[in-house]
Amino acid sequence: MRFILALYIAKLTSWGINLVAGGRGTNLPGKVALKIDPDFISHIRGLDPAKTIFVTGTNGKSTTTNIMAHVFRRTGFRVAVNLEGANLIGGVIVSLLKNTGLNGRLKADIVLMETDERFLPIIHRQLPARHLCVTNVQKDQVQRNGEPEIIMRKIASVIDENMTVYVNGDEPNALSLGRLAGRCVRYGVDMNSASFDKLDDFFSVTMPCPVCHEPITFAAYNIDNIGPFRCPYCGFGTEQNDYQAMDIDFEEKSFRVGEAVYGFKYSTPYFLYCYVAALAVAGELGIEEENISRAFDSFALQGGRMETIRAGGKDINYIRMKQENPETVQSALNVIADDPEEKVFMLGLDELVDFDPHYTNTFYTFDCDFRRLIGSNISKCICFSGTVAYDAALRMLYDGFDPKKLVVLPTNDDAAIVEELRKCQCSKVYLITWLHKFEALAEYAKANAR
Amino acid sequence: MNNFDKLKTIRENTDRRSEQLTNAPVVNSESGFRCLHILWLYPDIMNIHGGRGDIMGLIHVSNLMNIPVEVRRHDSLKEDVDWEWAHLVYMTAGELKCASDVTAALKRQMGSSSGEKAEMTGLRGFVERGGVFIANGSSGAVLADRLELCDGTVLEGLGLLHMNWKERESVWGDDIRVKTADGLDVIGNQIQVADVELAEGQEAFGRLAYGRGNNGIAEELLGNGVSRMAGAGSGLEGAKTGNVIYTGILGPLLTKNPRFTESILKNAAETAGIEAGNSLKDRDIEMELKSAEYITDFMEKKQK
Repeated sequence: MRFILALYIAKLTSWGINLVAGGRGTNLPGKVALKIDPDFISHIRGLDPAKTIFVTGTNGKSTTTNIMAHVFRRTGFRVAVNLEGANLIGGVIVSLLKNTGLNGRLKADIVLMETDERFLPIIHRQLPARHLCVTNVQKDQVQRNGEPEIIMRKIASVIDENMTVYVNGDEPNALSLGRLAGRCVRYGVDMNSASFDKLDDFFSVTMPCPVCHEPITFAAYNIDNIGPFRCPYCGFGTEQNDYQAMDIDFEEKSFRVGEAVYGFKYSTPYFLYCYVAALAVAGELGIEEENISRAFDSFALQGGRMETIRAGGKDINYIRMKQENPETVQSALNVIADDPEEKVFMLGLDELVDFDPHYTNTFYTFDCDFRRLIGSNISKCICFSGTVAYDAALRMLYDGFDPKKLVVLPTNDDAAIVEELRKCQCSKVYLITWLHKFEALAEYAKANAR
Repeated sequence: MNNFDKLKTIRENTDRRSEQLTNAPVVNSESGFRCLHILWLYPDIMNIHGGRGDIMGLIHVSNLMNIPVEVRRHDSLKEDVDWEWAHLVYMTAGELKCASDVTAALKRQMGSSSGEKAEMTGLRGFVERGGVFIANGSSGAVLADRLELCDGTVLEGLGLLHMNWKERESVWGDDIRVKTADGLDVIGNQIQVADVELAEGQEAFGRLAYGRGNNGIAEELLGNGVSRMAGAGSGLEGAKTGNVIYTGILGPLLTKNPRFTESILKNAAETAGIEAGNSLKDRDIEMELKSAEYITDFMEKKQK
């Protein structure tokens, strides 16, 4: 009775929000449902843990979930999925609500949920999924997560012998979690034209082995801290992955797994891992290669990791990254460094406002290597921020950037930033900043378009 | 040549496989000079929160001070450190999960504790001779008397600093500002996964002007802003006995605070009997001073 009441009120709330906010995502109906029935999810009829997949990890959750959902849908399955990235328990409930009838029965063949790493145990308690995909466990949101080990413990707490875990076999932390599961499916990516090593730097560091804590050795990196690796002390390392992307061609946008060749629209190593993760899960759940291949061909992501706006008389190429997450920053730097043309580089680090208290963390940039970017024909670098512009500039100097080409703009004022950009001769511009700042700049550019 | 060109040149002349990195060719050393020996302890293992920047900071400030240095990495827990070689040992911030193995590796190398200082061996001998040993972030747990983890596990640390660590149920992250006993203003960030209690008589690294430090800000400094969230505590940050220092300050600590970096280089040089070199001038560290100005202002606004 309590469940039915929760279901109706939550649906009504959802309908009301859609009417007012035009379908914008929210967790509120989920919170309402939980308030009335704290075990709301477990009371939904027809939920089958054997047909429930969770996707978790530091980076790549949303993209992987999006690709998987597309594959399942193109194959004819009805999928309950949280594609809007609402990955806390409220967001999961909202997605289930959309696929639950007024009789409380689920109307989907597969439940596929992106789940926040920290909330995974809470969600899993009500919905004990038998399939868990772990993309990677890396440094991120340190103000909340502290150390990756804290997240490792949370993920490990839901893994048992009844679970099939799909792990990135090239990422040490994820791979070590696979050892806890009844069944582990590993996926990975061959070394390719975008792979790199860190042998040219005395200051390069790897990471402690998750098993014995001695240093790990990477044969190469496909993404920072992801690549074929081995611990020379205990032998833990990348094994024969069950799904391995080979013959990777970023120009032709294709890769091969086994005998099958797949196309991929988004040709960066980051996306490649997401495609192969989706392939591993879909393959293990019996989707045929042709169907997966067709789905990959037609997959398109809403928004992307790179967007372009016009401001200051120039096209600004914005590359997404997450502050406090060195791997995403490094990936963004690598994309820019791959462009040999003369360019202006705008670096907009800022104080962190995800949680209270807001603070001025920029130390994660020292986990990144700016040298290849610096050597890639930058005619000017503009570091802007209301608080940490000088910190960002110092980071550039520490990796050898010419101070004569450096402009420090200690402000977040959009007009001042665009005005500084207008002074540059060079027309090619790359921007790295957090999403909120990019959106503010885009808004300003739109309002002042001339 | 700008301030950072020397670092760039040194870096270009070494790689990951180099036995050591030295600035000797680029600092204006007189003939017959001796180098200050810096040991980067477990760089791949105690590696989180941009700690490698601390080593870059040490070298950059050495360049500014004209102190010739040699830096070596010590990577494996299984191999013993050359304590006789080192003058300054730096263990950058690492994860608590590694504290047990790192402590065990260093306990094995404590060496003899009896006899004349000059005859003492191992880590104990290094400390007794006045060697500088700094650990920041969670690596400080290794130097403590005791570390208690959330799962109830208790680890005995090296006991070089008399403090007890207790892992927190939640992480505390914020900016931090400390006034050291030497009167230096040190700023940075803090990602605190454990509360730290100093034993009676244990000197702190400094006194908090902003932030949570070991276990909370002094009652009299509690403002109406975020400091109240951090809670009241001892008002102390870190621990220090002679030249053995723990602080939770990240940043990286040594790139953000060149005056502090200068002070530890001077201490290490003095112990090693090496000419301390030039003192830093404000014009050498203009960028760092501007950075500190903005960040300190940000902290002051939060405190109100």
